[in-house]
Amino acid sequence: MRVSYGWLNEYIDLSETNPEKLADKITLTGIETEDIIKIAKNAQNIVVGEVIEADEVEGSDHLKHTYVNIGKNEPSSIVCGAPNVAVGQKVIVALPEAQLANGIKIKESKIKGIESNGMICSLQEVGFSENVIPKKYAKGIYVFPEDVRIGVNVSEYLGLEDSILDLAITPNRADALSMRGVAYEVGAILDKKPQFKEVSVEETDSLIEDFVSVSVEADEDVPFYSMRVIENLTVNESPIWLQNKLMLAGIRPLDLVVDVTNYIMLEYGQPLHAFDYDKIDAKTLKVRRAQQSEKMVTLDEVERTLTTQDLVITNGEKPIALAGVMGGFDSHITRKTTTVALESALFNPSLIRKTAQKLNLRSESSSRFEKGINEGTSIEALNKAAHLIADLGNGDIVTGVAAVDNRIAKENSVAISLSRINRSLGTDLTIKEVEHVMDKLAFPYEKKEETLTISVPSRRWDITIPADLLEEVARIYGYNNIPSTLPSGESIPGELSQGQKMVRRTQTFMEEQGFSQAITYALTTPAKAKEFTWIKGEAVSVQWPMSEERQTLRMNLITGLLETLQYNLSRRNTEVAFYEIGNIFIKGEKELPRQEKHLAGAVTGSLVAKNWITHDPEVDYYTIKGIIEKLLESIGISDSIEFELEETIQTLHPGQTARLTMNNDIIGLIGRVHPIKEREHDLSETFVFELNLDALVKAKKQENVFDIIPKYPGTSRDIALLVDESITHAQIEKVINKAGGDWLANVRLFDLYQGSSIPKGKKSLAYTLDYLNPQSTLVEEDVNNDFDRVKEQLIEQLNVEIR
Amino acid sequence: MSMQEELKGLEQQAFESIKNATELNVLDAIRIEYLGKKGKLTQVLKGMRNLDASQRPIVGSLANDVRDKLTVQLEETKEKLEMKKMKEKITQEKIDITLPGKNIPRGYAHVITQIMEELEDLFIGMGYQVVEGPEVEADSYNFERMNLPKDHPARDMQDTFYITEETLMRTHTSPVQARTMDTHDFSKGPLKMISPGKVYRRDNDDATHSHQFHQIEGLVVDKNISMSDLKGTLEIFAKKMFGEEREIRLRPSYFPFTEPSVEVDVSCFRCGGKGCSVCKQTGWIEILGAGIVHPNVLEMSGIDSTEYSGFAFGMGPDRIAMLKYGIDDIRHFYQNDLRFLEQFKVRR
Repeated sequence: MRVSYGWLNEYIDLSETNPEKLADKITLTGIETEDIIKIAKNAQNIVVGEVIEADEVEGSDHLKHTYVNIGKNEPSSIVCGAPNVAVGQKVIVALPEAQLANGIKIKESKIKGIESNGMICSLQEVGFSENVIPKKYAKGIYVFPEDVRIGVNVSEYLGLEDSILDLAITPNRADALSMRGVAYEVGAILDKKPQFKEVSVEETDSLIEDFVSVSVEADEDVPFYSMRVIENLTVNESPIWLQNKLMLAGIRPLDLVVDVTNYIMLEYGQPLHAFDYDKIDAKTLKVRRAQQSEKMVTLDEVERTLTTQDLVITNGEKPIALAGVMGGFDSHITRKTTTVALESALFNPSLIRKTAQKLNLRSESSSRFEKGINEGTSIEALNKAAHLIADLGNGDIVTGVAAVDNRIAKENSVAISLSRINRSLGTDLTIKEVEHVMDKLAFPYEKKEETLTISVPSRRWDITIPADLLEEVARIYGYNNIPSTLPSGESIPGELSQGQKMVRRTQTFMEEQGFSQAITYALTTPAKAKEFTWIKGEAVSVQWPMSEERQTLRMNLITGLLETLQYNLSRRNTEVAFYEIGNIFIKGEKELPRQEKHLAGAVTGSLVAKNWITHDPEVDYYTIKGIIEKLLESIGISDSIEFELEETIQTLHPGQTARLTMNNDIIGLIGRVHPIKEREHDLSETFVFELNLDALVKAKKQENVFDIIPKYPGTSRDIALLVDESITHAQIEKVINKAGGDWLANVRLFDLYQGSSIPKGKKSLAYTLDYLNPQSTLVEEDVNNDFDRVKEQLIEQLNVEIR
Repeated sequence: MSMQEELKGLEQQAFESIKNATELNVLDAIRIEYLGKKGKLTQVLKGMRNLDASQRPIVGSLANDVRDKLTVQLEETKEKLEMKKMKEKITQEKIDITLPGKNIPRGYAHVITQIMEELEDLFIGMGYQVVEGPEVEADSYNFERMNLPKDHPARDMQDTFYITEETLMRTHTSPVQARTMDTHDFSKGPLKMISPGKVYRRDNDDATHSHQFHQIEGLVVDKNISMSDLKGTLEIFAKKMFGEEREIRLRPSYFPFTEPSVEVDVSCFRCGGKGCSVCKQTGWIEILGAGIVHPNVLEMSGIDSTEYSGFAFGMGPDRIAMLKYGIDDIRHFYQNDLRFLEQFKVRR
């Protein structure tokens, strides 16, 4: 809402303050003042002049040599390039030293040898934005109405130096979408009572019944509908004061009737609509829901197809206006209009909102209907508009108002006690102080002991419960006068949950392994959402995505990390390793999708920068596996986690990928990105992993328990095996563990060889078996027996050759 | 030559050799030569059996004496030589101690995570629990339970990614508060929680807008929670987060789920309130929204609003990080350029 300081001053005495101070106060008491706008920074030396001569300039097809009376003895000689300049016009003249909106300073000069001591200006040139300038003057200089005084500064008529407070109105304070509402607000802040002139309507002998009657189909759609008729009217341009008020408020002046409706809307917050009475072609108007697929052409000459959710004003047959949103083209006001039917109404906010949204026709009018209107001034606004139109257009107001009033008369009174106020605000106010706040707000109240019952005026329909009054007291008393305390109730220790602690530890762990944390977007493409995952199921997509790239919720984190790798590599950031902890989403049977917290990592190249010590630090599957094993160990999962070859995920290397299972549930993946995918992303060998953190949080954990430190030394045996290539380490380890006997404490692979010195198709593995009896010294013979049994079983089950 | 003389000569000879020895292996050879099983001293002693019984103890004692002396001499010389050798070795072992250490480079924690954890720890210290919730929410929890029915004009303030008619990407973390209020057992104490997490709005990504960002919202519900409690709590937050000298300022505002509602400004941490480009010359920076929980919101969770009251606040870690470090573009947070992340490597 653009509030002219000059206009506001008509209602409330602002002589003791200034725009900047007032703006600060308004902001601190309730409505944020986003900006203080001035049309011109400096309007000095810009005056009203009258063109008394305008001759062609020889050798130019558009320049004119004018003499302009600026109220001095001698007229000024000015060369003007505007196409519409003509003798007799009263115009804006920028004299030497004047500064235009674009910063140019006017100087005395010579154009084509002719003295030019100023410039005749358009409204843009003095600072108005193009969309508020009357269409007639959009191209060319502005011409004042006849009655302006020559030689005076144009600010007197154009408000160039007025301050416009740009108020950001929150949805609850739609009362301040009107000058009167703002005046009450400022009155409360300054402790002054706003003054408004009484409205009088002089009616003629004609009766409204002879012109029009109105009816409403559904009461809940139209709580109030009223109409006045003004006849014998001449529709011209509005006077300059009216045009200027609209322009300062950001509205383009059009003609007398439309301008008055806009002016009244700004003053009262009550949108009005004017019909050309003679074009309505009926004497009974009916407000009803549109029929399905009913059509009408709106003011902007667009044919609209309506539904039963739209509210229309009809002439009994067809729609003549889209209620609260836009008038119809057929009945719009023109310069030929002589009789006006003027509407002031209240419509169901939610209907207006839907129609405006659907047709993309948000306007000053529809947004006010959506947010609510002061029901107490609908008739007053109508009367004042009728009076102004009749007065300025020499028309006659027909006697009476055609109206349907379905409003349920409701007394809005809210009670609040002093103790409630002090308890809720933490203050120590007296009842007198609270009464003073209510007086400032001009809220009538009754006092009973220490409880006030406030009769909330209709202009403040946002106040319905005691909490609303708390806000009024807090803001008028001043938030900065409220003390600072801390909740005094029982205190309970705050701490992170087990899962949250695990997430934090995991973050630190990953960072220590050389991975940096990425945060990527959860929304991606439908294809990317389903890559790199063991999870079966459907992805979840949004209904109206902003772009194809951001339409489906991810089911894996790896894709985002690969994009991050690619982004960094293309910016020459080498040695990149990233991890992310975030949620993934799977369409579920319930209303909400299943959400799982995952940890994923991706690394290409090396975790160690090329350095003077290590020369071949390239990452491989085993690097990542080692990191994950270390992580799982530090989490202390008690169930065993198996690594199984995973060959079926398209985006991962079928020979270098493992799925991790715990109690037969897949909880993650480690592997190399499929070479085709690597090529797609311009990546060299890239290794990735993803783990279901929720599953790890839920998994059973080992407890730390103290056990006797073994007193007796253990012993160990080494064994080297020659086996078929296809036999896995896991198979061998399983046989050893099973046959190992009571004292086998640990099995460790210490060598793996494949190459020319052993037969083709074979590999050699060497293990150390550690034996320990915590209770006594191991007997050599027992260990030998156990070790022999291991050898036998390896030969028998895996056909190994012991070397 | 008597055996005594022979022994004396041997001793003399050995002493001479030991004195001249400069290498440990030479010294060892000398030990074997004289004191070994087949050494010269043993050889001499072997001749003892030809001696007179009366002479034997005298010669024996002398032999032992020579052995002891030689042993001592050998040990002392050995120690000397070893020390000399170690000194040489130490000299050779000198390294360039300025060469880089053997490190796996550390990764960096994301700056948003750091801010979030700092905030979490601050509120945990004041007795708050950290509660997370679903990022895809029911319309009812995201809006209706926040006192925003379907046709409420304030819904325009938050453009929403809808999944279906009834489910959406949460636009704030407030629904976690409603879910927690639903189940909180007040007989076990007041409800004090913060809900951190990702939120989503239908915005085009540019320098100041992101369709995905973060929020931390706080909620306290107990008997007798007041506006002054909110003010005091936020003052602690502002001082811890932005410096001890910070002040806060409350301005009335509007959120459907709180009444009264306030916007909270912190005195500018760049200029201290004098006015600069960070605070747009106002001396104040808008940092969060807050208010007293609307009675409807309490009632919808089955909490008696005549007995209980609460305050709530919400802030954006992205915005806080941008303000705190002067970061010019919100997209930096989601592009994960290492050269960006690296700038926040020192964890606070």
